[in-house]
Amino acid sequence: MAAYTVALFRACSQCKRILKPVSAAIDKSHVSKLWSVLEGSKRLLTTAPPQSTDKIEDKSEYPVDFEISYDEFKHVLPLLPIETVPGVPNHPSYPTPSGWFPPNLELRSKQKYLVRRTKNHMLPVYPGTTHKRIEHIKTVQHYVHIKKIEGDIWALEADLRLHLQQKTGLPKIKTQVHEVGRFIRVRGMYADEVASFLFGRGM
Amino acid sequence: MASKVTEGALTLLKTLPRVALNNIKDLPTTLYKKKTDRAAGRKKKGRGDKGQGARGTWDPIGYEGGQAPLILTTPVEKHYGKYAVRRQYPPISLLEVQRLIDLQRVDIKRPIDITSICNTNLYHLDVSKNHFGFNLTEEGCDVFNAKVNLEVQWVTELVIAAVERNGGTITTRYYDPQCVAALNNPKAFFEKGLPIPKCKLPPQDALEFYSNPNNRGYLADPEKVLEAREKLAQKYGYKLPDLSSDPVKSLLLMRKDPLQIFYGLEPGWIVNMADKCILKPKDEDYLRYYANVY
Repeated sequence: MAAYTVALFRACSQCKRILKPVSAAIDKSHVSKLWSVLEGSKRLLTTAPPQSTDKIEDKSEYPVDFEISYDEFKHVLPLLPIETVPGVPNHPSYPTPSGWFPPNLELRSKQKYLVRRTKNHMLPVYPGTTHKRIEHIKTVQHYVHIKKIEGDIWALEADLRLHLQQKTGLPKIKTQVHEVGRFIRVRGMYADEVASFLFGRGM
Repeated sequence: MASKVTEGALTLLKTLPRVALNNIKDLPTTLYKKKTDRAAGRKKKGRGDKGQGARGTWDPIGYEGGQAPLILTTPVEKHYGKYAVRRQYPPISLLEVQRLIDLQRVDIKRPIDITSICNTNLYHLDVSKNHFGFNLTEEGCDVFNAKVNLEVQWVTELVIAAVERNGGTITTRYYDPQCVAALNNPKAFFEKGLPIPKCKLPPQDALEFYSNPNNRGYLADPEKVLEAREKLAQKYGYKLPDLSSDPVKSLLLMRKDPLQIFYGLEPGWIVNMADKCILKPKDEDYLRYYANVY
């Protein structure tokens, strides 16, 4: 009996899958007849459940005798994570002991461009490396990735390149500008210099 | 019958050359593998005439004509020996902890342990990579400025001095991998509906570290820890703040039981997150297992 109901249900579920997109085109009486068959199969399934569910009767291995405490759930609450990052904290003076300070809104509004802080209140400046093969010799190339740029990205690139040239004394600093992705890549290990440049502009 | 124009077009198409196997050719950028003659059917197979070269009887690699070779004369330094079974302690520096405190990612009104650091979602421990906890490193020891109750897994003397100079306390505590998994993400652990595990004692090679008062081990004698605090203050030349008259004394002296992994929750209890309650089984064998060290 069980096998028959399962087979019926499988057949009907296939019918349902086929009927769904073309139900408007088929005669309504025909559809309703099929639906009645479907519902009947459901009823059959509910009246005769499969035998596998009867196995969880033996609960001798589970602890039956226990005490319920609602008060002590207060110890669980501080162990749960905070779902959102807390906002910018207010400190009496800046920088804080770890060297963090908030963006200078006045100063940064005067610039043509804007680099926003991340959700963790940090600068979106990330150092990274790429690997390149030159005649079977692997070389590591360092770069700095600056994200979350708004406004005139070319003005930022020109200012940044000039600043790094003055700092390092090199004739050429290689940069990449992605106008659509709104990011700049600078070749070299200049993460600290880039960060200090952006802090100087109030970012 | 089609019109004259279409028929003409069809005949033209039939006569035009088309792409087929007989007229396609590789792209100009294609890299050809150099053709090597395997010398099939030749006598000497391109290996010259007689000798070691022809017969392939060269000396083994590293053989130096009879004298003790380099591989035997140089001593071995197994930096990565037994790497797969070593305990790993991912580093977190004092500067990073200070930054977490500055940006209010951890609450200093509660003791700071693995859970409070991992709940920031900035640091994670992975049991499958043999992570056994955090190693608090010395970077930023001069700027560290917080009065906290810290609990980490590995420290050095300078780190202890930096924390205790500001009036805080620090302990080193061992957790077995099952407990580290629970501490790393308590919410996911509670949702499984498993009983809170009891913490195992440290293995034999780590027992000395965690029972040493100089490391502020959790198994050390508390009186000897107080002595070691004073000794360290004299060594580094700072004045140790008085703990007995401290307004947050109860916070700074909060410690877990060696078997306990969460403050206020005992091993063997089950947390029901759906009904927001705690289930405490009363079975005698069950209680005996969770109350004793085996």
